Amino acid sequence: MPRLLSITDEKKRDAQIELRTAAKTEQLRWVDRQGGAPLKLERLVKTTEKTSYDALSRAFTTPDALSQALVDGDPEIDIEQVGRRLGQASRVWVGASGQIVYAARVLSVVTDPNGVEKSRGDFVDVEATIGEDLPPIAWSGRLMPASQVIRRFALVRKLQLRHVNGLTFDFLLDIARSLQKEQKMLVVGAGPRGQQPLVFHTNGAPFRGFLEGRVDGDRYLLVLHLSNLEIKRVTASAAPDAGGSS
Amino acid sequence: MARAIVVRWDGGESAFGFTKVEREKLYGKKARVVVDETGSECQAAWLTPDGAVLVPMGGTAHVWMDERWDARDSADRVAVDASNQPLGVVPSTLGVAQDLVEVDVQRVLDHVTVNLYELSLDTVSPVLEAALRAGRIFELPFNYRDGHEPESMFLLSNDDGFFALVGRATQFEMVARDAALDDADGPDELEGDLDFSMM
Repeated sequence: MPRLLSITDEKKRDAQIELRTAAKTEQLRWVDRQGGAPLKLERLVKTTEKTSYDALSRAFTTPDALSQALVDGDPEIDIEQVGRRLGQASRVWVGASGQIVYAARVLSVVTDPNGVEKSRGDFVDVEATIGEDLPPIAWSGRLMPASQVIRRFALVRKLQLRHVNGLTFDFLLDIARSLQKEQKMLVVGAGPRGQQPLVFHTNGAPFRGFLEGRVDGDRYLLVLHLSNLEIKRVTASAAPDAGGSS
Repeated sequence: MARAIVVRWDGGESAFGFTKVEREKLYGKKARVVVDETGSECQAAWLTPDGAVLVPMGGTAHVWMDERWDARDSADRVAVDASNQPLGVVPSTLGVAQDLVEVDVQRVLDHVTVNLYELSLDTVSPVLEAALRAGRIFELPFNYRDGHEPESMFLLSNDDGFFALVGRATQFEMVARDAALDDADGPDELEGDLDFSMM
């Protein structure tokens, strides 16, 4: 389903346009090698809370007792449930005793790249910063050469901006023409000055955006490239003496 | 020994070691942790729709089933395309020399990056190294493991080092004035894109 959002051009005019995600490549299907019958990957129950390792450890108190029970029988198999389709199961939280927790508290725990905890506090929802009912994306005016963008940021999502009527066709064609003329990409962000990350829905991933425009006669292509990852080394070894390729 | 990305260009072969670049390695992460009233950490589990069974995480298995609910081994299945024609298996490109093609920036922009690797110059020809340092970009076919859908890999460098971007073609097309009435039934990629890690 296309999304709608508003965007501002360099003349500070805004218009509501539509966003589309990239088309998926044709999906392959799996069939039975012999008969050609279609196959489906199903998620089945393997272990229940009553037969999990934790539950068995509690029931048999010592490792030796558990080992003996496993030798003598099949306490780890719930014969009534194993192989059952999980279906539209609900996500719940269980405490140390294996019981469902009804008064759970959600925390946000931040760790650094080495896995060391930096902070811990109540989880706070991150609201969307752009959307159909939110203010238009501002024209930041900050332009970056595409050759620099692709070397600094991994562009992990792409959205195509499309018009919804004749007026917005002219509006987007002008933006694409302007960006193509500059041979640069527009840095796109949320907020009045375009400096906040783009968050498309509550608790969604925050992205930085780069708008690319191409024109071919009376046709245009406007793509919003999204990134949440910089192109940087992660290994501890010294960086090679890479020359200027920015 | 770890397998390498091996490429062939200008008459010489080069091999790159590679390490995956991920947000967690660069920025750390922000995780949601659920605790009970005593502050003890809780574990996620599944409750079946009838409320009868509690299934712990890891308590499920994925199994290939046919329409009659008979299980099939992975070896008993074959991939087919939309016209039911079996798809050939494209072998892994790791350790196998692939021809490089020089491409422009626009070619990279036409792909969405699905994986990013930091490269180490194991045995790289001086000519290729110099070309990358000069800002040239190269493309090669890439398959991490045997599969049916080969991807494109782009080699480039920046001030921090040498990198490989694995990309999937976006297939966006130019739009004309009368294109607005087209229907779009594709899934919304951003819909389930929940992310609790750091910006």
